[in-house]
Amino acid sequence: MSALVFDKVSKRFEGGRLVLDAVSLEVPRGARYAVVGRSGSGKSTLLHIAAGIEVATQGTVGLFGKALHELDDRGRTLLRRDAVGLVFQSFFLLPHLSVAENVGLPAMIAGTMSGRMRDRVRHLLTRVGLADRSADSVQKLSGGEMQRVAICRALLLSPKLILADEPTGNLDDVTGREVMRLLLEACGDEGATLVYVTHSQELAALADARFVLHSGVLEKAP
Amino acid sequence: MTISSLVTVMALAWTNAKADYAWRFPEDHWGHHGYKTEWWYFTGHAGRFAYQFTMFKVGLSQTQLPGSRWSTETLVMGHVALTDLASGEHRFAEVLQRVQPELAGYGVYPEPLIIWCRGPAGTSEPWELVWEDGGFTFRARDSRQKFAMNLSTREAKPLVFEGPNGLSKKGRDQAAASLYYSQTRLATHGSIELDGTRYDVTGESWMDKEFGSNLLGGDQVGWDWFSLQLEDGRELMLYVLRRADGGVDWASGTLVDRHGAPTYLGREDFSITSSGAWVSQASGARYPTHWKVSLPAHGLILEVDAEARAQENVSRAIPALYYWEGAVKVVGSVSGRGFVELTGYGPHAGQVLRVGL
Amino acid sequence: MVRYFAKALAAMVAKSPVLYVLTVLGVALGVASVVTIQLINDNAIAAFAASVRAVTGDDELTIVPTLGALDDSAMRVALADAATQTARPIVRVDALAGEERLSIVATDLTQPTRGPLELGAERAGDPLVTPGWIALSHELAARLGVTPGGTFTAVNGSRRVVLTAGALVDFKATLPLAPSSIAVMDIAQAQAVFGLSPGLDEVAIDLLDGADVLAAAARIGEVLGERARVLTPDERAEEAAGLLAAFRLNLTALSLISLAVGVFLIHGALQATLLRRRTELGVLRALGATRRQVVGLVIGEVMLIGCLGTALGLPLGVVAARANIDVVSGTLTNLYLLQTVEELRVPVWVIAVGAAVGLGSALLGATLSLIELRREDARALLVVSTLQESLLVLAPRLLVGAALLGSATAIFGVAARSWAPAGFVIAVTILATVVLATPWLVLRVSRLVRPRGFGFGYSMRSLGQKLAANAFAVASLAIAVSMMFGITAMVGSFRATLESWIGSTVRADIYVSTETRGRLDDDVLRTIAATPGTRASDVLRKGEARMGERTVRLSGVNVSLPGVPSRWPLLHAEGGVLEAVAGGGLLVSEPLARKANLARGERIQLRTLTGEHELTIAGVFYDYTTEQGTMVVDTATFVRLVGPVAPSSVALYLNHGVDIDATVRDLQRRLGDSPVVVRSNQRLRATILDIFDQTFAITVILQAMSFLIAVAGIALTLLIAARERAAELALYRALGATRCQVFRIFVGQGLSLGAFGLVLGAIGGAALVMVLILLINRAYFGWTIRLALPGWALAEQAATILAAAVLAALYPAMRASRTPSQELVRDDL
Repeated sequence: MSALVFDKVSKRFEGGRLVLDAVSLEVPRGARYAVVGRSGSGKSTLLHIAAGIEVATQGTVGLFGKALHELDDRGRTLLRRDAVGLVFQSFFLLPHLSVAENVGLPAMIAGTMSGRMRDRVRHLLTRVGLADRSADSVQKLSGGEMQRVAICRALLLSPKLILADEPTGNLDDVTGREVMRLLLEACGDEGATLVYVTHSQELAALADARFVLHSGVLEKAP
Repeated sequence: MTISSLVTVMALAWTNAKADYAWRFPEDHWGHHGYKTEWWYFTGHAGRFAYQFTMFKVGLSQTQLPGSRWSTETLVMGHVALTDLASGEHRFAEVLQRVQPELAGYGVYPEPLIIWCRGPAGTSEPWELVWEDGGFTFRARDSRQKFAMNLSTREAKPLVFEGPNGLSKKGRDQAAASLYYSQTRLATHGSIELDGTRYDVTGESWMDKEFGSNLLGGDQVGWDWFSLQLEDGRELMLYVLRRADGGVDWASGTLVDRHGAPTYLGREDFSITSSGAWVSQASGARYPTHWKVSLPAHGLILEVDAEARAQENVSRAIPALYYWEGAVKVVGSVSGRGFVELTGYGPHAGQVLRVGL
Repeated sequence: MVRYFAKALAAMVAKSPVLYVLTVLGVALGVASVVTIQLINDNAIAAFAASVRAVTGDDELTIVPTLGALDDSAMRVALADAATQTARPIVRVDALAGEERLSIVATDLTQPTRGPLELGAERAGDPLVTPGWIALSHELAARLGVTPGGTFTAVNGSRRVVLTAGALVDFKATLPLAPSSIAVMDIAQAQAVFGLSPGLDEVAIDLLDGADVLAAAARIGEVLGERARVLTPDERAEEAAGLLAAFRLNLTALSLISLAVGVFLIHGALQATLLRRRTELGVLRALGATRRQVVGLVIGEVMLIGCLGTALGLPLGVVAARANIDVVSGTLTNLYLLQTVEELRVPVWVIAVGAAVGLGSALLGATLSLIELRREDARALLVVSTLQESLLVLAPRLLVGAALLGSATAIFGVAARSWAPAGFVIAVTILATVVLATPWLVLRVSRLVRPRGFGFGYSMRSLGQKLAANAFAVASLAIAVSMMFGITAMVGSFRATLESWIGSTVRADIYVSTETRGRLDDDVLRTIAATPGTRASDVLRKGEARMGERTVRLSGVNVSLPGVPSRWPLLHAEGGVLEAVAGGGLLVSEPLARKANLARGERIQLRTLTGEHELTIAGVFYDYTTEQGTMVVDTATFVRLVGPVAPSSVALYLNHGVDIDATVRDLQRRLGDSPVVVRSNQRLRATILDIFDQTFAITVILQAMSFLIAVAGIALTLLIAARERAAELALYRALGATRCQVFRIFVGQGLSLGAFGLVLGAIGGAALVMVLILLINRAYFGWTIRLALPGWALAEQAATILAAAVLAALYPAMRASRTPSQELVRDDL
């Protein structure tokens, strides 16, 4: 069973703009795939549809065998909760929560916060080297540190699929490379499938397979 | 005869003027109980002035009203007018108060005060009529209109009853009558003030005193009244009661000879023709200004002329109360002068006078 | 730029109509609250003044007695003055015809009246002569069911009279505010028919045109000396206003507070609007718009909202005042024996004030933002979090400010005991302290919460997220709750104090009095005296005396009745007090003692109709029947001071075991037709409390207002939050939160805001109660009120607040849960 299957998925926004045009994609479990494209090419939309956040206008999406288009919003949300972890370009950490609380947010949402879960938080933070900052406010962190916290958050509930939308977009090159490396490692350790979107060819080269998204059309990169 | 009462209290409760009234003088110069209306009416000429001084005593209720110091069964009203014959200007002042120690009152024989009333707004002296040194003295001032009079009289001819034993009938109705006497010639002296200047004057007055409870009959709307002092030493008093259509309902009069003996005149004994017109701006009434009076049986044909046209008195205290009271000149068979009073003319003819008369 | 403005504004309104509606509503409520209170205030005075000036109209001078009544000399003096045109005697009689109140003004009807009473010549004598002749307004005649010429009975004191409706007059033609209960009689008729004692209540003077009013007043006043005073219409209105001073002051203070809340709300509403525009404005600046243009945009939007809100709030205020005018009337009638306020007049200046408040506070609200806008460069505008951070930094400083203010208040409160308005100042600073402390408190307390799940705990925790907006909502709710709690607690305490006071003063078994505050006839007294089973009877006589410049009420009672416990709860319980009073001393009521600084043992001078007297104060007693103050002496002393005046009421003490209700019924039967009221002890107590409740009904208006304002604040805040936190909400959804969960979070936020506001408000309210009871009340009314929190009422209000908070959150929560995921793409959080 593939982690993610897109079958001729199109997405048209209100107002008529065609963002995705018959995109077909199959991501095997455990793979690391990269999608390259310029801003505005629909990359984020691709990830949103994969996560079940948005719904395709045409075509079908399968997530670990489950047909997303057959689920309602609630169904998709619960599936996402279980199976998907998200990393964003702008980190999207909540400033009023501490580092540890940010990481633990998915568990709070799922209602599964417990002593064991807190251990996991600590474990993840240690892994990315931020265990000593767990009580700090996220506003004191640098960009790279924030993204590392975001990665921890994404991995908290042991999702089988990690979707990263330009994870290094707001970081400088050096930090970006470090964070990317961390991400790939963590996914490997957790046994999670990774699909990431980037505009950097260099980072795209780290993936098992590369695709290019151009004007809504997905093509495998040479 | 002049204006009278203003109240709708049933006349039945009041005493009616009767033919058998027992007169006593000077006591009867004072006010009387039991009659609804009573007045003291002075008119006269003195120098360049013609004047009128009238005080009314108006009964409101026969029964004593208990329980309040303000209770009053009587109102006192005063009308005073002055005509400057030189200029034709006529001024009129009035007062109206309930009988109350601070406001108005009337006296009892033998005290000198006959009747008094608080002066009009802005005048601190009261108006009063007193009996002094065997004669009337009357005083009135209106400080705001800047005129005043303070005149004393002495009888120049004996007093005259204007009807048998003073009973003066006003109509066919038995009850329509008053007790009425006149002092047809009163030597007068005193002072008159006008616009700040005080004039010592001498002259001649005529006084009417009348009291009764029922003074207008049936369809009568008003009257014309004449008091003429003739140069041959006689006086003539005439009154004509008119109906709404202008026709005469009742008329009567008295001719007083040189010695004071009266001859009572009936309707058939005289005729009066009026002419001329003066329209009042203030009241809208249209008054005649010239009369031809003839008493054929007595060889008198007189032309009576108003000495000034605008001698109307318009009351502000009582709505729709206005009348013409003016000095007149007489020429014809004999010359003379006097006063004419015209009431009940104009759009409100009879309304005020109607009430309870 | 104008076209851009119009289009942008239209777009924003279309996108979030509810938001704009709420903002406009916020402004409207602020304006309405000010207008309502001002109208009520103004009309109360006007009604009083009108009743005082009815019929006599605008006489230029009025002579009033200092004590008792005027005698004839007053008329004489008035008439003697050269400037006097007319002088009218005036006697006022209060009567009852069935249920209808008759406020009779009796005067000399032969004097020319400038008023609407013009009788035709032919009836000029009727008023003087027709027994019981009275002129009524058309409305009153209709209510009484009489036509001209018809008769009806009326009651004054225990006397029943027959009156004849002689004329129907439209009093309102010359006196628009004259209540319809005004009636006119000739003075002779009034005095005779009602059996009044001679003497006048007033002499009304009309001066000649062009006369110097003040000089005439001085002249006449000098001649009259001590016996009377000469007042101009303004002075009369002032005296009337003086009577109402305490009442008005409280109303004004409360209106100022609602004004503050209103301004606060308006400010907050606009702040929120502006905040949302910041990005847009930043873009405009980046595109080259000048500061002036941007500022112009802001002002334009603010003024538009301000104008709409004001336009809505003004009529709203008038409607609210109209709807509540009888509540106020009730208060006025009960406390001050005034006419009811029948019609609401809306003077222009009130509208002007309302408009100024609406527009002014709109501008004020925008000022801060404008200052920021002008200072900052384009880039800064694009970063929305600036304001957030500044408040986070400011919060502690504000707290320090609050602490300082709080301590200053406490010190002030102790030091300035004797300064009357101190209480109001302190009340305001208390509220200000609460407001200043709110940001820090919200921040700190929310941080203390360690949420485990995505539920209420999380809601509370995230309050710190949008601190500015949340602090604002909490603060405005806190103020409203402070006021509500404070006033409720004060009224509750007052009622409890009153109840216990009633317990110790209303001791007799039966009370007999009249409806019109008149006197009891001899027949009635005899009938009462013949009541079987009576152990003792206490007869109350009422009079007046002058103490210096002050007129005081004097009551004469049988102080020591055998077998009857003392009915005067004394401030300082000491022995021998009643004996001292029986021996010629007097008791002073607490309000009077406070206002005039009197104490036990002092000797005071009293001037009465019988002359000057010196008496010793035997004690001070609690009295809640009037804020004017009373003195109590024994019957013998009273007769010596005032004369043998007929009693106003009688209290009977029955033997043990006698059936009170049966005795009451029997007495009523024996009194037959007499217009006298017989009440049992129970009934009287209930009546007193009813009057109290009616009197304080006005506070309900204020409570309702604050409540509305607060709820609007919460709704507004949450609605804005739903929009501003869109990205955050999208994040939750991305992380797996269902719509339902987001909805619950938001409702939880509303509840947290409500809870915070409630707690802070309770603290503020507690402080306010103390101020109200200990400072304001003491200074203005002089009563001792013991703190007795009405637990149920407060709990009920608290529950209502929380429920309202939840309700207010429902719609915003629904919006929040619908947040589209596109928000995730936005840059900020």
